[in-house]
Amino acid sequence: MKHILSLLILLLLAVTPAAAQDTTLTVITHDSFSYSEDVMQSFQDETGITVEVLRLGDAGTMINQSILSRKNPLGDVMYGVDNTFLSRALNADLFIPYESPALADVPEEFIVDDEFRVTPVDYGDVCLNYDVAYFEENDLAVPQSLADLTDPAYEGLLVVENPASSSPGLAFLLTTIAVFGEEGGYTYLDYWADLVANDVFISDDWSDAYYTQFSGSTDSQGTRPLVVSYASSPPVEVYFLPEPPEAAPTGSIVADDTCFRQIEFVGILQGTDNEDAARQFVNFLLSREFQQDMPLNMFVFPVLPDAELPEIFEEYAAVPEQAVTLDIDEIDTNRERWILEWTETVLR
Amino acid sequence: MLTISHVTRAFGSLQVLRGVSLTITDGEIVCLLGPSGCGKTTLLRTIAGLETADSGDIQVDRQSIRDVPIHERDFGLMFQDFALFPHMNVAQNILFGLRMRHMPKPQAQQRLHDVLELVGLKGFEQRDVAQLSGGERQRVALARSLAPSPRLLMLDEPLGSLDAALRERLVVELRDIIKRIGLTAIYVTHDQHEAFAIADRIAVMNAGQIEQVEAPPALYRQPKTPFVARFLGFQNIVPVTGRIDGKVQTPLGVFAIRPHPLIPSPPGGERNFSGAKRGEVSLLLHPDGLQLAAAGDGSRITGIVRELVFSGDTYRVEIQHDSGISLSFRVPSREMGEITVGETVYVSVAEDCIVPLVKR
Amino acid sequence: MDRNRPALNLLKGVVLLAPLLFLVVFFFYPLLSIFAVSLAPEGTLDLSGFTRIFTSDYYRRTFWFTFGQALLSTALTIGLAIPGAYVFSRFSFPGKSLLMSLATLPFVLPTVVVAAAFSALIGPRGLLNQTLMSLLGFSAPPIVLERTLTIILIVHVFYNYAVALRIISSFWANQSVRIEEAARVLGAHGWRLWWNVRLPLLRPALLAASILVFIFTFTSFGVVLILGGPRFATIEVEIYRQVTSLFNLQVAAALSLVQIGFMFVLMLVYTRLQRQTTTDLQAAQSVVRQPRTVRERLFVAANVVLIVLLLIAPLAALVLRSFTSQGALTTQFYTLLSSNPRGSVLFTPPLTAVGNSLVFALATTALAVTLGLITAVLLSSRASRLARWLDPIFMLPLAASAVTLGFGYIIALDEPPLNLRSSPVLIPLAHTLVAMPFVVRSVLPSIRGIPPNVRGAARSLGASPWQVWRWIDLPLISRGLIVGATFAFTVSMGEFGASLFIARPDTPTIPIVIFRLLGQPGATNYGQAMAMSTILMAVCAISFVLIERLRTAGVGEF
Repeated sequence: MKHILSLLILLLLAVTPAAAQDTTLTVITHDSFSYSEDVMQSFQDETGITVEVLRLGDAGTMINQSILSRKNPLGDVMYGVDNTFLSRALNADLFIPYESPALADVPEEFIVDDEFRVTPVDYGDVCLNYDVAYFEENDLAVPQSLADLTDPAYEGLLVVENPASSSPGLAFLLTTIAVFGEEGGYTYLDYWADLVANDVFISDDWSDAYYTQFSGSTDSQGTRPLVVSYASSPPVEVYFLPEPPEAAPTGSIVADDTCFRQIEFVGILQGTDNEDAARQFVNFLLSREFQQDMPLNMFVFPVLPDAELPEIFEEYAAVPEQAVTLDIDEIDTNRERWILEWTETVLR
Repeated sequence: MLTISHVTRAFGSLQVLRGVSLTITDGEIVCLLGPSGCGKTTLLRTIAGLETADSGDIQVDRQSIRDVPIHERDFGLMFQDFALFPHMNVAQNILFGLRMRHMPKPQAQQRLHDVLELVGLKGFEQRDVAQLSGGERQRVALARSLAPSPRLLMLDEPLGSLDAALRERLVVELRDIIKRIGLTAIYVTHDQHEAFAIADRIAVMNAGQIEQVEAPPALYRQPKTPFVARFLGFQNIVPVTGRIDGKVQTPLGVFAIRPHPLIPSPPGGERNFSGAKRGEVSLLLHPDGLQLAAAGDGSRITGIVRELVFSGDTYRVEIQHDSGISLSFRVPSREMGEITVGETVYVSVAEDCIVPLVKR
Repeated sequence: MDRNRPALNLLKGVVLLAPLLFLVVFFFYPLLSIFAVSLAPEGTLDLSGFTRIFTSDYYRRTFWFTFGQALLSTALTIGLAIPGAYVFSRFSFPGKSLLMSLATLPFVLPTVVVAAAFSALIGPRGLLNQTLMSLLGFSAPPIVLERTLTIILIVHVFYNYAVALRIISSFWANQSVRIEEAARVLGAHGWRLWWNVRLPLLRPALLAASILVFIFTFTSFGVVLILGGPRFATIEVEIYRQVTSLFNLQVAAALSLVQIGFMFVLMLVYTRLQRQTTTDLQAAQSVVRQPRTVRERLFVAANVVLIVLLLIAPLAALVLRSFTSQGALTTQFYTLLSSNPRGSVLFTPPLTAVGNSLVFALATTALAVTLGLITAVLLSSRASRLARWLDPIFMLPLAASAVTLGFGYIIALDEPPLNLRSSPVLIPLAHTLVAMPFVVRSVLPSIRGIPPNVRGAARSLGASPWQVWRWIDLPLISRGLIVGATFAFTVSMGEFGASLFIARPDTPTIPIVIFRLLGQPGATNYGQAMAMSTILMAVCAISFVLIERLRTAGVGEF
């Protein structure tokens, strides 16, 4: 009996310090978070930190849940908040500031919060995509501006997502607001009324718009050759084809003032007991290794300019020279009103 | 065997039992008779343990059963709707009580056989209770309550849902079976004929109280209260307006009555109703003692014939006195002479059929 | 009266309070927490959400649409179910019970599957349109129902037809045919017989069925969101949009409260009506016969055809799609389900979801049956006046939107021992909330239907209260209990809204996997989604059969 007892104590002693060293870091993120297993493994091996990933639905749901549980957070770090939702998260005081040394290499345009409560990790441009074959067969010019889309030549060709339920849909609405404004003779609502007159189709989510309504995606039986999607969508199309084609079946329109730039951030959550491990994780996300792994896992562009892009990104992805952005506070203040006004104009 | 003392029970503000006392001796069949709402079923359920008395006590062999749960009281209970277990066949229904008492199987089977024979349902063991006729259900219910040999059998309007002809036959059979086993039984009904046929004693209940307890013939001859008299179907009740020389005065005339504890014959007091107040005393002219009489007979009443109803062996005759009071009685058909409606007749009253009634 | 009364009563009290406690901890507490945060974010009550929903045209239209579509759906469902109920309660015909079981299947299917089933049948590329196009040479699909009110109504009928059919036909079957015969003798026939005799006699059942269908369609979520498209929104959909995309908790809470309040009134009416439609177990007498005249045969046939077309055809189309690839028969979609290809949106092989769903559903069934049974016992005691108010309260989880409740969990259940926010245990708990009302509703009538003196008779024969429960009550309510258990199981199997919110990616349920697969491009994912839906239907159908077996082998044979 005594032996067993002492053995137990020994065992406990042996186990306890190891457990203390072994930090577990819970990363809250959205359902699209994806990575290569070996990249994550090497981070864990190097630091002794065990990373647990907790996916909480889409980005909006993730942030809402985190705001509601901020007194007793579900994790230590949150990855995936983007600039359309950022001020909601910042106003709720979700994050502990941290200025990562890796930020030195990140271009100024991505650093939105000067208090460093969030750190930019990647970006993507919400752009119009088009079905290359359709425009060639019909000998139609690809539209080069938002205004073009109201041209009767493009009647019944466009699919956009509902901004109330879809993140690219909201981005596209924000683009129109940035371009046409809310005041003056021709507001964004006038523009949308013209789009409706030109038979725009509203989908509730991106996958319905892209895979079901848009004619350019693989296996699609959709009928509309123009869709609001991402600048990275054409390389994705190619990536999933069994053999690389000569030219991508779809293309993105990257003309000035037609794309909206979404930047995704990571932040250390208030209330964490693992602030140090969390900092290491933030640095890891900005490491070359992770930055180069991202494009093919999540189809986004890394914020590090010198991160090497995969071949198909180099070949098939276009990056807009002048993408639209809006002030994050302006977005937060007006989001609901814009969406309601849009709903009144477009859906009723 | 069973002593009920001062039992009360109220449902909300409704006083259903107002201090009921009753003693039942071994082997006796006592009938609780009364209109619906008089409290007879509540009294039965209280004895069974399905209801709890607010106050008062119930004793079996001088032991209070207040705190004995229903299933340990060892009483048999039979309901008007029979309450057969719909998911069991005849045998399973009857064996239920034996199973609850953990009776060994062979013994239980023997008992099943015996009670089925007793109620005349041999061979019905495997029948589904849903397929039985009303009379058969009644027998199964009886057999089920008899099977565990209860010390007291309680029957709550057990024939109420059957038709009249069947009821008349079964009530005799039921008494026969109960008497054969020598069971003590309490039988609840609102039907006097059923009560007369089955009971050793009848307790007539009204508004939560027992009005009178009596053997059936005595109850029939000598109802003590206007309620009992009316409930037994007697209509010839006349108010007493005063007393003269040990006789009572009514609108129909003056009648001599036999001594009555609540109406003592006062030596001098003319209008003394000591014990019973004026207006609370009335007379029942029992129809059995009313006869058509010739003019000039003794105590007789004059009236005009209002109605003559022929019913085979008798006529029912209804006459109306000058005071507006009607009397009804039966006359054997062969004694009826030539009487027509509207005719003035004389009616004699047998002295032993003048029954004083005192309101409780 | 019992000698050990204090201890026994205490135990009884604890047991009877368990469902109430469950409801308080897992429903009212989270709901009130989220309402508190929404309506008083800074600690002071701010009711501007209500002002906004009552003054804006936008929300007013949402109210009217919710109300109107529910009214239309209910009228359609009941109108179609009445002749069907007549056929099921009066006639026998081959395949009758199979048809009834199949008609109940839609009830278990999550909206995503139903949407897929209908698009497989009447979508632009569905079986019907393709057949019509090739037969009649149309150049465009002749049937265009996507994103119309029509498709919403059709699918609402699809979901609720069996519910109405069951309520009405069981009430009808228990009614004396004598009344109808008397009416015939008095000269009523044809439509007058229907209008003056049959329908008035059915009124309690018709009202109960209508209110139930109205409740289900009023709170309709997935059907409107997925099939209706962005143009249509019920209150429930609007709550979802307000919460998830706008994070407008004030408006969402105001909408939720309005909906819950309105539903509570309906449930109050419904639960009172159900007391009237309770039928005596002994009264049921079979009057079912074969159809004799040509008219009767036609009438039966017409109703069978309706059920086949409306309920079974979409399901059959779905099964067919799961076995077809580019016009050829194949089982490849099924074999693919056990693999987890790289880059998949699913974090586990789809087939593991079947195991997850079964475990969750069994746990839900056990919990919901236990709690539902206790609740039904509690509610059936006639002494309790409280029961009249408690009864509809136990139905309230059907009226609360999954998203609202999900957010409620996040803020309410964040402290040990109830820190269940990221625990898979939350799934069966949430499912139980939705399943419990079905158990209560199935068991309550059979408890109330126990003839009143039967228990007294058993007691007087020497059975203790526990023995009465074991040998009398339990066998007599076993039928209702089995129905309730079946409902609980299938509700859990098909539950989507709450699961989507609560389930973690590594423990997905079948409906969630179907949803993820449908959100992915390509014929393979679509085929796998169809295969998964077929598996869901098969698992539910097999469960029906197994539970039936269980009944005849055990519980029913006391």
